Amino acid sequence: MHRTAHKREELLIFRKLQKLPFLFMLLILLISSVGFLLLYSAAKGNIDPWASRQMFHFAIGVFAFVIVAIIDIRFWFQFSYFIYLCGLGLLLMTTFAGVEGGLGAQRWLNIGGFQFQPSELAKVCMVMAVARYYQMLHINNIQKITGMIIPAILILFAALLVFKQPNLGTASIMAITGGAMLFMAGVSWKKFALAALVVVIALPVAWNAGVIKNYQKQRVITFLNPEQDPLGSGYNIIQSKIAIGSGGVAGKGFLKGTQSQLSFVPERQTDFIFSILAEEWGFTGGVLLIILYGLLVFTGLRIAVSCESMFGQLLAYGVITVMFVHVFVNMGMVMGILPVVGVPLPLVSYGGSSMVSTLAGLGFVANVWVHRRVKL
Amino acid sequence: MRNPKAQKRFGFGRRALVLGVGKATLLTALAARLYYLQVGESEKYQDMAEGNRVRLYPVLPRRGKIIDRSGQVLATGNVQYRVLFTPERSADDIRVIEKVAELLQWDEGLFMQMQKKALDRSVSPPILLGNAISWEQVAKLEVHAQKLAGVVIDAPEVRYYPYAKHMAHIIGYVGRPSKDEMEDGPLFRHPDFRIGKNGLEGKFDDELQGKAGVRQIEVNARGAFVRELSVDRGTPGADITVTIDADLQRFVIDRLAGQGGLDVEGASAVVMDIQTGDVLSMASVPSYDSNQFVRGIKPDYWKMLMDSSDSPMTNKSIAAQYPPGSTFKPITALAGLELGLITEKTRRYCPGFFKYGGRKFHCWHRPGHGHVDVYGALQHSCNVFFYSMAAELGIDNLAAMARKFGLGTKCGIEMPGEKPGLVPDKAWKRAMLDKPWYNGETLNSSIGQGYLLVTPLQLALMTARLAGGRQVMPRIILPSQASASEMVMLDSGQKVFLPGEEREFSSIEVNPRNLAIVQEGMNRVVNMAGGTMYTNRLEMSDFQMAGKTGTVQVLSNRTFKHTPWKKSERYHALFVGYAPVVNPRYAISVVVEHGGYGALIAGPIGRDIMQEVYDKLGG
Repeated sequence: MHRTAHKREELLIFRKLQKLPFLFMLLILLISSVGFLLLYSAAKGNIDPWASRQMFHFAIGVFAFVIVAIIDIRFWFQFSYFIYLCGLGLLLMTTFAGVEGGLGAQRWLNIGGFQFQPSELAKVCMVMAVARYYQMLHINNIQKITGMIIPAILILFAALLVFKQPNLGTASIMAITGGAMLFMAGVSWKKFALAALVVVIALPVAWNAGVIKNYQKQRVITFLNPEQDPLGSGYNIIQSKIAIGSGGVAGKGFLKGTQSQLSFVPERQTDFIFSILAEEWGFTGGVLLIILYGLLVFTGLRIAVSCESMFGQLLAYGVITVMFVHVFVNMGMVMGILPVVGVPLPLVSYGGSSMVSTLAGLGFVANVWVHRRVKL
Repeated sequence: MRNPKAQKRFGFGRRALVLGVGKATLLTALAARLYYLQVGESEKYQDMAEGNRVRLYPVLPRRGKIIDRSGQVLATGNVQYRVLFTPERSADDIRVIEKVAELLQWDEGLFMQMQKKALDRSVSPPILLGNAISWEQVAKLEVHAQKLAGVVIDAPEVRYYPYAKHMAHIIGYVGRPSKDEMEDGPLFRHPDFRIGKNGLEGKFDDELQGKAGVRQIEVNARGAFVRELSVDRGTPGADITVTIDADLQRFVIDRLAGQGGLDVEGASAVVMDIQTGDVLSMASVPSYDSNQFVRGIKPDYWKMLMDSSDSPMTNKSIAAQYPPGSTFKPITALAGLELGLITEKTRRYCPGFFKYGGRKFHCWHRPGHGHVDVYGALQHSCNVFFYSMAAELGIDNLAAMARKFGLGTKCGIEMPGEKPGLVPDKAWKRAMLDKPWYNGETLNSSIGQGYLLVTPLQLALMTARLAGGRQVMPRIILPSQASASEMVMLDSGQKVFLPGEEREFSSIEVNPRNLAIVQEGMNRVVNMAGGTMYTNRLEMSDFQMAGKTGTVQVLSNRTFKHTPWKKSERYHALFVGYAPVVNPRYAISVVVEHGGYGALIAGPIGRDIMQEVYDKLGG
């Protein structure tokens, strides 16, 4: 009896591996490979220091992806709130015991010699908790304002902790994702219109009341008028636009980007990595990457819709939205249509925290696909 | 009827579609933006990135000049040529250095030093090869430009003060930003960037600074200059006109510094226009050479300044506080007249001392002045006359009168570092020393001793108000039409007027008859035989001077009797005055630290300065 149960379990893992969404995973591999090439180029044609380590991050991330995907969705469902609270705990630890990440931001946590950013984790935790809430909420209560109180707290509390670090970029992404999830769950249009109104009113107040830090203000001002401060914060945007614009249709060729090769573009291996792609591979390469991301998002949404449980739907949808907003904000920033907020390009920008947490997050999408018929 | 679950799923699908379309739209927008940058605007950006590549350098704006009331330049920028070198990191570099060495006639040591610097890759280019080189040297380098790849001659403006020693305390100086200030941005890290550190340069730094521009330079792949793409020269700083007369200022400083005879070093004088409040001269000695600060001060010069016991860095006119001594007596007299304690007919007997509370308060003239009225008391500076009404007058009434004439608070001059002086009263003593006020202390205060403290600027202001009877306020900035609106913002609470417009000052709330009595007393000090200043009077019929001398005890009489007559224990010599006696126009104050007697030391300086005022500016 004991032996058969054990055997069934093993079989189940094997079956689950077979059921993984392979197209979805192929797209992830393709996008990540673009990243490896760009990091190779960013290091002036060297695999060190970035490309090699990024591949290592990728390997860890894929492992996390598979683990997350095959653990039973009922486990994740049961422990959603607990995981959410753990995420908040890590954020609080960062506030009190975090490592300065420059500009007075405390975003890093040092655990066992590894540094990572709990805010990366917090995004997924928030998505899980909101999804769990709506699974349990009766259909008739979705439209009610009382039904919105708890998810609003779940979203805003986590976003606020991240904002306090301070990390305006990630906090905004969490707020946007949370809003999109509420919409998906069925909250009425009118409430969104109301919320938009509140934001429009609150923004100038927050701006003037000192809630928004000076360096954050400076980024917005610089974004609105980069030429005003071409030697300071405007420098990144101007140089990035020069890199992208000079790439033209076909690009300057692999390893031939003058702007990025000559280190004109700062942070070229992390936040501004897209400018290397656009410069060396041109419009062709840039659009290709956008299409790859588009396909990844589309596949992810298909998985979300295919799921029969509300939890699964919202979980997959939330994770995909987080990633999509990252892509949009990062590319928008590099192309000069959004302010510089220090958001990495998922799967492409150099960085262990970002790579591993993105892959682990996408693991939940795969999990939803594997368990799409599981009743909760 | 649909079951709720199906409806839930249906809703999800429809909303997923809406948001999916939204996402697709946003991705399309990114692609469109990419198209705009890489296809539409590509040529422009290719130009910018071409042959490589644009670098941005700050262009320092021309710093505003500081000009005196007659148009003489007090602070300006001097062009200095210098040689900069950006190594190409090739064998040519050494040949270039050798050529420069030959043209500039370097000795072996300098050549080795520069060569080392140029080849050291940890030194970020450009490297400074020569500073403040002559025009002939510039010409030589220009001729050989072909062989000097990477060498650039530039001509930064260096702040220059033509009247450095005479104006240092007023103008201040500019210097490199401190480490903290360098955090304020790349401009602050520019090696030629200077900020105002002291005086008007510090106070009006924002106005003088202007706004930096940007030069877009195209460089080749090795970072060497190719051509200038565009240049925004920024906005030059605003010029500032001061109320000072440079020639008068020079005379005053030289007169104060050239004390002859005594080893006097610390002294100060202020000349003020009674009608407008314009400070025509504000002198403090010893002074320092502000030009030394511009390029970074040499340690031994700095040490010399810091070690001097006469604090040359301090603007004594506004930042040093002295007891006013007998120059305060007009205020005591006026307070007594206003309260009706004395009239112009009141006479007191001076036997050389005054007994109060079992203590003897001495007059400076030990044999005594005999019977004196208020005129005589001022003319001869008789202490006893003032002692005799002090107790009845009370410190609070005396303090109120002193404040009416500008003592005890900052004058609000547009300069940093002004001290407020001190006018004591009962509440002050209770609050600061937690002790009651004793009437004996009022006796000391009535002759300008005790706790009373004034700055030389306050003394000049007091004199201007005594002479004009109006609440004149001092100023050192002449507002111009262009900068008038800015001036209002700068001086919190102080109204600023356009040129040509008469500054309006309300009358001081005292009986004009009483004020006239005090003015007559001050007239007799100078112009009636027996007055303390009679030997130093101005003998021009249309420009006579009134005034008051003062001698301030640094140590009490008892102590100094038994100690040698050392410089640090000698009296401070003071003089205040105004001229002409009728329709007064100019007020003056002179303080000579440890100078000795006011009538012997400060008085003659005051006379000479007033004579110069007459010669320079007319009656």
